[in-house]
Amino acid sequence: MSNVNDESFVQIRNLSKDFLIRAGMFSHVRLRAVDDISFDIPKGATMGLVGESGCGKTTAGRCLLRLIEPTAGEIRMGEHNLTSLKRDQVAQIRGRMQMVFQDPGGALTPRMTIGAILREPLDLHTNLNAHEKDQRVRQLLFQVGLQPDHLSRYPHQFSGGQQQRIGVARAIATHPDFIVLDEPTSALDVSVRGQILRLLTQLQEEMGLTYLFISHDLSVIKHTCSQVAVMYLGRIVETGSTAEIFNSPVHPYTQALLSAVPIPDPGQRGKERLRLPGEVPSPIDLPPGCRLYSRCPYRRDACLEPGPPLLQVADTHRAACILVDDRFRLGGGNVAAALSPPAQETIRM
Amino acid sequence: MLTERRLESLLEVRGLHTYFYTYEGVVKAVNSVSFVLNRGEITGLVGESGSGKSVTAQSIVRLVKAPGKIVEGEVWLDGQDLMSCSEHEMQSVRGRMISTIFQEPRAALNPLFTVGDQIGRVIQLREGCSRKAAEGLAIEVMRAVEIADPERRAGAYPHELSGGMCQRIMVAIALSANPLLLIADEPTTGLDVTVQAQVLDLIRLRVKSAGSACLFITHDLGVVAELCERVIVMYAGRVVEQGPVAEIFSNPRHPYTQGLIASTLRVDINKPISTIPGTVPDAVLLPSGCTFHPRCPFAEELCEQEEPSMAAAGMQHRARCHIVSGRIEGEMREDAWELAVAQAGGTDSFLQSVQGDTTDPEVGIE
Repeated sequence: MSNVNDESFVQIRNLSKDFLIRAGMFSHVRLRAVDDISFDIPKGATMGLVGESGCGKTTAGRCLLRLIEPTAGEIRMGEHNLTSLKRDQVAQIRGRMQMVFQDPGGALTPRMTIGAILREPLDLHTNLNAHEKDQRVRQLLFQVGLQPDHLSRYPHQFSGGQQQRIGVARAIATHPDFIVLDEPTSALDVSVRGQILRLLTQLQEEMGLTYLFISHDLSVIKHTCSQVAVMYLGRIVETGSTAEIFNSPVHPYTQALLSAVPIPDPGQRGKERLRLPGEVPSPIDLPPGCRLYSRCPYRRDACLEPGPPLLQVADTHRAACILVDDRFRLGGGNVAAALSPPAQETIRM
Repeated sequence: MLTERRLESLLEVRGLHTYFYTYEGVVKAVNSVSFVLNRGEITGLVGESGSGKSVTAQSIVRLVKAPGKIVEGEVWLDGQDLMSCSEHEMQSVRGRMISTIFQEPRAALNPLFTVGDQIGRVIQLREGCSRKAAEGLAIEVMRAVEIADPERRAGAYPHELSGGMCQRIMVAIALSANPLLLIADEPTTGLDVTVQAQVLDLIRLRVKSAGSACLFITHDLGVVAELCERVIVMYAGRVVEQGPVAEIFSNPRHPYTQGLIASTLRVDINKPISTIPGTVPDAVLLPSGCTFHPRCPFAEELCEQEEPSMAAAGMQHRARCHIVSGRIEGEMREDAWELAVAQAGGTDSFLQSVQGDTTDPEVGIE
């Protein structure tokens, strides 16, 4: 991540996405999958978007590339304001923003050879002649660690890890600036996952790529991202540098999420954990207050009021919890102390 | 780490071979697998996809589907030889003595019946009680697995409940029989971490209080470290290492186990991303000798020629490796994996040496 500079390359402002769900023959209910999220990604950096299923992270990623239309908000990538472009104009710059999908097998057309799959983006987005395309395809294979004789094979002849390498090769074919990685390693075995993560990091350094890394796996996010945003029920509840989020999480949801991750060290079995009771409520017709209210061990009446906004905790560290606000703080000025879980809420295992 | 109390063995698997006869050839999905499960203990069965962990579980309850066939081996449950049981006898073993939980809770529940009906049916069959009484017991069982408002939820169909709730109901059904053995095949894969934590707590609590044995199949070493007392590591149909959980994590002896632990990312510490080069071998064309040798940084000529046998690596700790048995001079240091990979010139060039030479694209073009 040597190419990082402070200038933000991707800017998301107040992005929202509603889905209308049929409730009866003529009636619909509104499901707000992404609710007023904003963040910046500096050029050459990796932003992690983390949360559990149904939190809206994939919807947000697809809105960013305008694969689905956002309901409100603004998306800027470099000099382009993506939200003000017409669909055919978006198609013209699609070569500069690409996506790598979760299911590597399902994302590759089974009837096309690898050569044809890799040539397709070049046909659509570049003016290269046949010889140049051929050359580029071979170079792509080399870049992702595959061999030239793989070109005439079909996707099913490859292992999951190799299929994901092809998915990555296709994404970088048109020299994009920005790639959305939607759970690129969650379908892969542990031993292969590391290979793909290394490949992604290596390509980022070589090509100066900017990534949005969507994952439910906190350990993967920790090892690949410079910044993190944690989502819960459509909202960003906490955001900051990777160190801030992992070393001193402030939002009760982030704390619970982190403490629920199993640690591969039997010596740490007895550690205290913050457990959230119950499950994620239905995202239809949510109350205006804090989304975590029904499960939060620190909840109070003020949490039911609309909001809370993202409040500053430290440098780049912000959290949407009223306990960060001075007026509600429990113990003096120390946020961490105010938020350390009350004794009766933790359980020993 | 030997405790005072004598551990009582419940299930003994000896020399189990399960083969699949496919058009491409014979797949030795389970190849000479032996292990013992003790009462009151949770044993983790770890491996990557295709290592044979699920087929091992299916073989124990004799539910291997064609073209798979149990070729050889013995499975003793509490002194009873399951391999010589009739199909009729097996039906009373399944559900009553051995319960199973599968990965996809929604696929395991019948979508046409309410969850209350389905739990009740199991209880009715087992207890021989009336339907009415079974319904009442079903609600009790749901309450025991912390399902809020069980009276109302008993009338819900599986699609109306979340994945976590369905999985808790599967745990409820599986454990309501007080089985001697619980087989859990990746029960939390696909669940969110906060829900996974709830399901794991539940399994731990219920297995311990009932004094049952549990075979917990997973690919997640984090879950093993938190839940299990004992670990069995499988690779390409074979057990490559087994032992107490503390031993396996602090002193792994098989290079595959070492590689697995090294490539597991952790949220609590920073470390460079490590990986095992290459991929799991083709099940029909397994490598000669030690099946792991093409990916192993310590491999020597002997590993290519001769398959190692299980050798003692410590107290109740065994590994299938020529270095452990002393046939190859080799030093297994804690950082051995990183070291060997570094000596091979970093992971990427090691990777290439494993995958075959990658042709330079400039040269490859005519």
